[in-house]
Amino acid sequence: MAQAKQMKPTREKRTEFKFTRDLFDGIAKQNVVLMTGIVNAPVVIAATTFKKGVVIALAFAIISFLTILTCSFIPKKIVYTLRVIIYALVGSVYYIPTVLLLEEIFPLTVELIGIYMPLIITNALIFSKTESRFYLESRGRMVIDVLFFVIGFGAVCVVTGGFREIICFGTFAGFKILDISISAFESPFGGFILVGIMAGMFRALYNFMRNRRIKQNAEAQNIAAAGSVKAEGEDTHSPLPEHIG
Amino acid sequence: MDKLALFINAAMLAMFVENAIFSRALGTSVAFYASRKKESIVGLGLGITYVIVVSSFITYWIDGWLAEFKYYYVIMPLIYTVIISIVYTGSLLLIWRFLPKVFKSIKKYVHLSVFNAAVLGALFLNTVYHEDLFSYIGFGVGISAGFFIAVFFLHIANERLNSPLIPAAFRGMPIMMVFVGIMSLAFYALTGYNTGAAA
Repeated sequence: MAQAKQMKPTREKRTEFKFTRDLFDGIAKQNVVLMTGIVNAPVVIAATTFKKGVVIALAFAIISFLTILTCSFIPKKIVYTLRVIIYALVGSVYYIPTVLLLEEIFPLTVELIGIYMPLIITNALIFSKTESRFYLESRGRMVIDVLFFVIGFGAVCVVTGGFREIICFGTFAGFKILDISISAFESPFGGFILVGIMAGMFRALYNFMRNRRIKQNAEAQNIAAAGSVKAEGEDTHSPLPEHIG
Repeated sequence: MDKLALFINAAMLAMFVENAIFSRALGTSVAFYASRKKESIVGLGLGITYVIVVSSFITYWIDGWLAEFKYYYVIMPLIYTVIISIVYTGSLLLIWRFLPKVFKSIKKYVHLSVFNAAVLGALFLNTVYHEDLFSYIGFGVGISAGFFIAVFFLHIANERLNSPLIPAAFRGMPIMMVFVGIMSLAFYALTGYNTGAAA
């Protein structure tokens, strides 16, 4: 009996809630489009206008957030090979009210997005990031973390959609602002090339900022270290106590 | 003979015109992952082909029954997910029962070849474009073959694209995306894409 008790699997302890820098990873360091590239199709193919970008971002946010939150209550005792089925089913259940709601607000846009709308339910944030990151955190921290990941995706989606609308049609959110039309950027190859270049530039900018921060921290540490050495030096060169002299 | 023609037509359409990666960006992240190793290309390719073909066969009958339902397009993802899940669970149980060694080696990554945009997207496209069983299955086979071809191209390019000649920030995913974009352009040219520049 005691042996059986010992054999019982113990639940892994989740990390405690701490408001640390890595909580913002979803926006830049681990952005799902530009840094890790685990969610591509809706941005590359469907986000060709600002409005489409907004709709995809909203659908992604609602479906991913609710699915991840709901599935965090599924016991870990169920093996992952089977748990993914529940993730997919929960995602497709949340898809129903989400698409009905968005159809009420943006009726034509949802139709134009086509098959890329339901494909959101198979996104890698739900199937991969949950196991490697979200479900290892405390629930409060997980909620904030998922929110930042969703915001990171949404920002890229909206910016890409807006930019493509400007260069493809010369409009922004339906309003004419420029007299240009480079229709190639509306196509999948235009989307791939644009997102690839955006990802490269974003990574370059991120690396530049990180290196600068590391350099600044190192300099600050050097200054602090030099200050403490100087202070120690002053201590050692201090006049000898009177009784020694 | 007509049925064979339908099958081949749908397969060719799926492979070149509606290529899963180059034309539709379906399962791009899985393709990037699979392109790293030759073994993963074969494993994932076979897995995806099996799931798409079997699921296409089932969805053909379901589509026939539910096509008239007003809100079918809303519940379609749920129904397709249920179908994929049944195919996935049934196949896993069979492998576990009869090929335990294979099950042990694939169980960690098998979900990648099932729950991805390529599988679900193929089923949606099938519903949009086709009406007969042979086209459904032909399209399923074609889209899997197209995925396999695309991943093979990515695998060949993978080593060169990660060379030191590429700027560090572009190495990996960004340059791969640009490469896929250029390949996509080539596939578009194959099907006669017109940018309107000549007009």
